[in-house]
Amino acid sequence: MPELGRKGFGLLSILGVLLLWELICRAGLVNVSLLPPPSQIAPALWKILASGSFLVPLGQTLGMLLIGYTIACVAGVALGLLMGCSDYLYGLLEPLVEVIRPIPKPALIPAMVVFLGIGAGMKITMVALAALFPVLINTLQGVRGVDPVLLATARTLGCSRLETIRKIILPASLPMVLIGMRVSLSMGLVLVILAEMLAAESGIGFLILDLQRSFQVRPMYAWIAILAAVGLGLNVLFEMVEDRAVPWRAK
Amino acid sequence: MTATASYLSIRDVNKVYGGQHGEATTALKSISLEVKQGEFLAILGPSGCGKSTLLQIVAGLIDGTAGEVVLSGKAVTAPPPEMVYLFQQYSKSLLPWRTVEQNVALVFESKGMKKRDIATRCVEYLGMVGLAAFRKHYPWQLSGGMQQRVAIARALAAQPRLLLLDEPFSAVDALTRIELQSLVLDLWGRQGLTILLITHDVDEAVFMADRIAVLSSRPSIVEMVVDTELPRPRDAMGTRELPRFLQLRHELVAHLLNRQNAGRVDA
Repeated sequence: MPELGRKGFGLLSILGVLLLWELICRAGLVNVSLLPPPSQIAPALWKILASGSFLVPLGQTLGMLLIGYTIACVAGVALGLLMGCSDYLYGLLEPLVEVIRPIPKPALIPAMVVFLGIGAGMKITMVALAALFPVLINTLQGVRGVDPVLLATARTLGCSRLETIRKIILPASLPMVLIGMRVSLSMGLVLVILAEMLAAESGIGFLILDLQRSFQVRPMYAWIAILAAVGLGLNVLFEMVEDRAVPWRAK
Repeated sequence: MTATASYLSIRDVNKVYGGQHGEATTALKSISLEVKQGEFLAILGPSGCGKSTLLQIVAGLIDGTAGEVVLSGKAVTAPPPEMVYLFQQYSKSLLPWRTVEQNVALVFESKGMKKRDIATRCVEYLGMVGLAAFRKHYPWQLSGGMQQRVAIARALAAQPRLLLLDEPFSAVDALTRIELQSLVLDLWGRQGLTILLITHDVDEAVFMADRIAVLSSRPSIVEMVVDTELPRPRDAMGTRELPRFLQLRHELVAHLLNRQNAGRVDA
C-alpha cells in the first residue's frame, strides 16, 4: 500500500512536466512545428502503436541488443571469473582490460563500420563491446570480494576447487554480477541506438534520425517515447529477475 | 594401542607477521600443546593474542612461520578431511542462497551421495540441533543462534573427528550462548569428538573444557595449562555453582586481569 502510494505520488512529477510542456506550447513560447505539445504527439504515437508498425523496428533494435548483450554477459562473467580466480590470468589480462575499457565505445563505431560494414555484425559487436566491461569488472570485483570465511569454510568442508567456484564463488558474486549486467543493459541500449543512427538502414535509431531528416517531427517524438518505455520496461524486467535471483541481497 | 600417543600435537609453532622491510610482529612464540583423542581443550586468551591464528594453523588454513602440527601421526599442511572448523561469523559461513537443508547438503554433495540419501541425512543432522522443522528456511530468516546451530549441524554432517571452534558463541546473546554450549557438549559426548575451543570467555572455557591452555598477549606463549577437574555431564546451572568452578574462574580471571594491568604499565 505505501509502496503503491509512493509510486502514485511520483507519477505527479511526470504529469506535471507534461502539463508544463503542453502549456508552454499553447502559450506560443516555442515553435510547435519543432516542439509539438504532448497532445499532438499522443495521436502520432497511437497511430504507430495501433497500426503495429512499431513491431519491425522494435524487433530489429531489441534483437541486436539482445544478441550483443548475451555475448557480453557470457564473456564478461567468464573472463571476470577466470581473472578473479587466477592471479596469473589477472596479471596477464588486467593491463589489456584497463587499456580498452576507458575508450568511449561510440568512438569505435566508425572503425567497426570499416571492418564489419553497416549490418547486424557491426551493431552486435558494438553492443557487446560496450556491455562487456561493466559485467567483467563487476564480476571480477564480486569474485575477489567473496568473504574469506566462506572460502575457508568450503576448504575445511572438503570442497574441490571446481566445486568451490561453482557452488560458492559464483553464487556469492551473483549480486555484483547482476549490478554489472544492469549497467550493461542501459549501455547496450545506448550503443545500439547510436550505431543505428550512425551507420544502419534499420532499427529505431535509424528511424528517429530518418524522421528528423524528413521533418516528421511528431512521429520522431513518438518513437523517443517508445524508446523511453523500452528502457523502462527493460529495467523493470531486470529488477524482477534480480529479486528472484538474489533474494538474500536485501537482508 | 595408541592410547598413550597424542592425537593432535602442536609443536613449537611460531607465527611472525611482516619482517623484511616493515617491523616484524611475533604473534605466536613456541606454542606447544598435546591433545588426546576425545579431549575437550579450551585455549583461553585476551583479544588479539593470536589464538585464532593458532587455530587456523592447526586447521591447515594458514602456515606457521616455524614448528609443525601433527594430527593422527601426519603433519598438517592443508585442511585435513577429519577436521571441521566452526567460525565465529556464522552469518558469513552459511550460504545465503541455500536453504538450511541445502547448506548441510553441501557436505554430502562433495562426497557424491545420492539425492534421496542426502535429504535423509540432512534431516538427521538438523534434528540433532533441533532444527529439522526449519530445513526449508533460508539462513537469513533465522535468528543468530539458530544460524550457528545450522553451522554446527553442517560441521557434524562432515563427520569430523576433530572439531575446531573459533569463538563460536561470542556473537550470540547470553542465553543462547548457554544453550549452544550445552548443545555442543552433548554432541561432543555422543559423537566421540575431539574439540579445540578458542575463547576469551573464562566462564565458557571452565564450563566446557577438560583442560584450559592460557595464552598471553602478543607475542603469545602458553602461560599455563590447567585441568578443570569438573564432573561430567556438565549442567548449565549446577556446574557453574560448584566450588571448583568458582575457584577456577576466580583464578583465571585474576590472572588475566593482572596480565592486562601489567601490560598497561609497560606501555
